[in-house]
Amino acid sequence: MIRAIRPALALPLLALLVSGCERAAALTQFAGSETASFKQAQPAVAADFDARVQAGAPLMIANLLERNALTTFVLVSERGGDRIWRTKDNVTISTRGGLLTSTRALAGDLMSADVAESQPLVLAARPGLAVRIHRYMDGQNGIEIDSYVCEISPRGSEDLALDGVQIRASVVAETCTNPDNDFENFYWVSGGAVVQSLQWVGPDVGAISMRGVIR
Amino acid sequence: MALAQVVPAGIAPARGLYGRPWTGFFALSAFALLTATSALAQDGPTYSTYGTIGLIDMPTGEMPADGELAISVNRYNGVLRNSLTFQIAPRLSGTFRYSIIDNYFGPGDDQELYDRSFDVSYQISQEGDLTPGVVVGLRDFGGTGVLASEFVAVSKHLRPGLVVTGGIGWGRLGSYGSFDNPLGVINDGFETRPSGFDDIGDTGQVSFDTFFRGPAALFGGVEWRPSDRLAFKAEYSSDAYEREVEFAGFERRSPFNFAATYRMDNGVDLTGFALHGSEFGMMATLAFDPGKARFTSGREPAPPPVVPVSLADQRAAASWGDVQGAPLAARVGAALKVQGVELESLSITGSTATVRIRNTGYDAAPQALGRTARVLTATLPASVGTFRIVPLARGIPASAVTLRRADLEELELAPDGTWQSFARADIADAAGSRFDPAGAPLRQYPDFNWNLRPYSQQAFFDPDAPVRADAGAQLSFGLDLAPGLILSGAVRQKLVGNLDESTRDSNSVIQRVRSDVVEYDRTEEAEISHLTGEYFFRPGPDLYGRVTAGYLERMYGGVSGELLWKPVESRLALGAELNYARQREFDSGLGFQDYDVVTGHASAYYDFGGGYLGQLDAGRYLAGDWGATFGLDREFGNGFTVGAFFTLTDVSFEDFGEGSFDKGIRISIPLSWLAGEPAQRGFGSVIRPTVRDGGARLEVRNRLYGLTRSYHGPELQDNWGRFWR
Repeated sequence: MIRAIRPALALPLLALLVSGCERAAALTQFAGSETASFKQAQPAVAADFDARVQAGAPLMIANLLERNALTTFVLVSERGGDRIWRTKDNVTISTRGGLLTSTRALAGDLMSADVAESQPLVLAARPGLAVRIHRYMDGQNGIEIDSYVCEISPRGSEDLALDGVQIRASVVAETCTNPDNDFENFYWVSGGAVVQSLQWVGPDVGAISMRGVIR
Repeated sequence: MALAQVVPAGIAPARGLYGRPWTGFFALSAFALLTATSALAQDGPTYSTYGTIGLIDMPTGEMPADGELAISVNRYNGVLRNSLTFQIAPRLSGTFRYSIIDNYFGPGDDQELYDRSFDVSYQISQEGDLTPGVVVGLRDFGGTGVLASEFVAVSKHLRPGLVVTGGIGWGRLGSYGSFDNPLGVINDGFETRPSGFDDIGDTGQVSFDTFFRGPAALFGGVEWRPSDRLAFKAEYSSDAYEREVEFAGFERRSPFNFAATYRMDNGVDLTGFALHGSEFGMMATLAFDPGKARFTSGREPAPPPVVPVSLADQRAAASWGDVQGAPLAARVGAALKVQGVELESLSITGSTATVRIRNTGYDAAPQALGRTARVLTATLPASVGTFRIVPLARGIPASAVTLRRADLEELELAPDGTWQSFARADIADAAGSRFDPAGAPLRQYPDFNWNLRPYSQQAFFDPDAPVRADAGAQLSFGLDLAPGLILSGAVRQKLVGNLDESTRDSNSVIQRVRSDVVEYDRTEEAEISHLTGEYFFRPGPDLYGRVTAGYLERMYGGVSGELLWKPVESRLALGAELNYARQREFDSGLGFQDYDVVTGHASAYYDFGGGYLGQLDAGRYLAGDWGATFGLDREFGNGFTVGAFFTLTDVSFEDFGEGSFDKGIRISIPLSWLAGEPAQRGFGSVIRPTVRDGGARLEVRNRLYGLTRSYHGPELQDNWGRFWR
């Protein structure tokens, strides 16, 4: 039996943080019978991703700017104007008319965004004011509601070369503020659709840039 | 055993060495890195050497943010203090402190005092534009009394970042520059303060007869916080350090103390302080908000999208995973399994599908319900319009949550989908829906599972080694014979540790039901930590039952029966438990000793809302003593819990021994709070200043309140934010 070194310091209050009890074992499990694991979900999602890409489903390339993570989303659900997109490693986002309405699995997710007022102005590249409501998890399994007043303003037009295709798009800025925070979204709108955008997700995630893949 | 055992520890002079104080700081930093939930707030108050909000030794009229938990360590000239302070409510703060004071009993070796103390303070006035913050506090109100003092402190911002404080203190805070107690005008009794503790037996009693008595003195100071990184403090102290000057060679050259604090990004404050022109000390404090999990929405993979009814039939017919062509229940079960949910049975009656599930993956029950509902939209035929989800706890239905398929489609991406989905969900009692002959049972009984995990067990506050711990491996198994009928056991083998080194044998004068725990710690062989048969059942609506027999816990075996009344939507629950327990042999093997007892309690549980949970247990304890335990916990929505309890029984304070009565604080930290991924496990600890034999309860596993609560109305509502996650 190995003897532990006598604790050099009386620090019981910290020791409790590494303590274990019946329902509280430790971070690791040496071995055991098979239990459900989130990791098992991934092969099915990855296979589904590949199948959809093969079948020619719409794709989007996105970049989480603060994490410098470039990834591809494939369309997995479409209902009305709502679209749900998923990566190969099972991150999902939803959009409504090209405006981001939620994220999942970004650890600081946008649970929902009410873009009903912003969306028509953005898609029409028309100036105006819109109320935008974001919902986040509050750290206690409840929902925190942040509302913003946004000014939507056209910023002229730009020629984009996306996947070798020339597109003329109107640039629309959406500047949102509330007493605690502010952010700015940019949309490149062509033919009443958002072809490219830079949209703010939330305080923990930062902004995401997205563009549709033309193929 | 869910208690961190505490070896009976004298406050008498004791052998023992302790050294390098900064080990503690590194532990603190490591925890800070883990949590990284900084409580760094602009113009936020800083902590004193007592581990409470204050100047250096003096208190202030400020309070930290509600819920803040602060761990602090400081050291100067032979005094080491570890404190845990919790902001219980916006105006109420509580502190537990463990101090080691060299040369307390005189110069030379072996004269240390090992002291546990409690503080409580209340803010009677919050600072406003014109009004100051006023705090009334009691320091060391129920320990040995060596730090005992009371105060009223008044603080006011002169401008942002500059706070002045003045106050009046009694006891230790009225020992320098003192004058006759102004409260003497009310009653002459205030003018003299009874002396402190006389012997060990008196410790632990709340010394009501000394509060605010004896000479009083004024103190004051100023705190300047020029940025959110820095704070500078200066104070005029009313503490004469009488005992330290007399015995420990402390030089008190002036009444002035100074400190500088640097606040790091990770929530740790580093403070250097100078005391009375002669001593220099260092302090580290980690303050954080338990209500703020590190990853607010978690890092687990995204849930599968809701599949609309229009696509359901073609999807249901298509393959799901690798079980193409398998029966419907098998396909649903496979799809649920990857979401961390096990399907127990599935039955479809008309347009309603009832699924019984075991939530194996999520600490927040609504997340398991939400993922189950999503999977059902993707797997069940379009003819099913209503999902009735029955989560099982140890085989018994805990509640039935009914969701309409159309609502799921409508609300998945709705801006207010979380609240609306809760409002439209029907949460009901699930009694009587235990077996459904029409439901194809998916789970095959008997069902065996096992695991091998590390374990650790600690003992605190033995003067010879204030922290002792064992670590080893635990092999557990469970065998479900039928729904609710479970055989389970766990065998532990200590691999490393020093719990057995304690030489503090029990000096208890009553039946030694807990105080001889060291005898159990001395076992080097594998021990059976439990080996039981359990039966869980629903005797009727709103009722839950449990019978457990076998080796119930490390120290006792026997039979335990429990009945709980808990309506699904009620904040109140009532329970009754009756046990026959016999003490096990010290080797925690199969044998028993002679002592046996009939013990049991009637319990009332109340969810006050806002995360405050109260519990009252009245009945007969292990030593045959009669009494009641009062407990109050504050549970944050994410599961982080901080609580306190005390037990009074007909064992006299004198017979109880050191500490006078059983009491303690308990903390539990969900693994998900640290790791950012859902998990049902966590870290828990109960800290008792002393473990004695009065007011000791049997530790039976799987008490019903804890098993069922998370699937009932109030808890589901609190956690519903995770339904769509």
